[in-house]
Amino acid sequence: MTRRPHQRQNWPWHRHLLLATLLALSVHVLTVLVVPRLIMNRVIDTVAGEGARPYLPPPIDHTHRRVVMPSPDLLYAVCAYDLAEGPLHITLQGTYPRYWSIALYSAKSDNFLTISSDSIGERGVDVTIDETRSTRHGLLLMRIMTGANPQWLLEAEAFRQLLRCEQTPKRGETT
Amino acid sequence: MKRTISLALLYLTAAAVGLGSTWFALKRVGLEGVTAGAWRSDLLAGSADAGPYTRARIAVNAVLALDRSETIYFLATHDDQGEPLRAECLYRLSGVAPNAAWWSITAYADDNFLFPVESHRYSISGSSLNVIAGEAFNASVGPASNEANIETTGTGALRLTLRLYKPDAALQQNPATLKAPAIERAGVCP
Repeated sequence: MTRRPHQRQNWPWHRHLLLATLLALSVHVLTVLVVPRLIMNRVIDTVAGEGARPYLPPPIDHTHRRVVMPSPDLLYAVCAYDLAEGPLHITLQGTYPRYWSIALYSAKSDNFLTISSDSIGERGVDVTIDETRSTRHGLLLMRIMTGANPQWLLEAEAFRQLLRCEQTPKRGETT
Repeated sequence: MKRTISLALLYLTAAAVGLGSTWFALKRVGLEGVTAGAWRSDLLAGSADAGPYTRARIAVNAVLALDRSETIYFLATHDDQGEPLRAECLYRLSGVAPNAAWWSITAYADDNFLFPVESHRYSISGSSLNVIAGEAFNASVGPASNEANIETTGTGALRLTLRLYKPDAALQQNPATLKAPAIERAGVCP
């Protein structure tokens, strides 16, 4: 036995109130779950360039309004990647005498890997990220401490130019 | 017809309540975690272990945070007396430089972006104050007319973020042991 549309329209108010409460709860829960991915997608879209090539934003000041809570004491470099285009190969050969780090974030905004100045020393960075470690889309964020010092800023600028984010197509694929 | 309009309003209101309660939960409910003085830290920032609310709050308020083994973030929205921090007031920051490879305190407006100050005095750090871990420091944050170390503009909420990069093992294990910088209002607030 199925109800006809006009019968559903005549539901008593308490049923509509119950359904409205369920709707409010569903909207709340779904939004909480979806927000990190939406924000990460927006961030990735903002910095995505040609392939995973690093995006080197200018030093942070109050005109920077892309990502909340930027640090004016850091110089950044960003690589947005899509592992469908092949594993991400990250290299950085060089040294910087102050704090720096390279952090990788999944599409859910989790920080799944961090490499920093004290763990690498003078060895340099040579890391490959594939789908066993990251979601398909993700982001690399390099932070280099400048302390808003003009000389340190120059050195940090030279250092971030050494960052390479490269993707090689999976075996068997053609470009 | 009247009933249809009433039902449409009911369901629209329900959807708005769902969205509004999410906004409140993510923007207005304080971070979970530990406190040190007026400062609060969410220890799961950047972690894959973070629950859905923590993950969403971090995404909204501090996306791209680092795991606490790398960096601990403390946030202050109130002074030591429990009064909300205001951009139009002058505050004195004092304490000892934390045990971390590097640290900074930065001021943000209510929208989590930097204040538009032409002097570019957005923050202080161990290097800008020339102090090493354990040494005492004093600084100020407030309107440009006060020549504060960190300048603000306009009126409204002020948020201070303390970043500790590569905190020492004891702080990493128990961030509540931080000798938190004091935040005291200086003078009368307009």
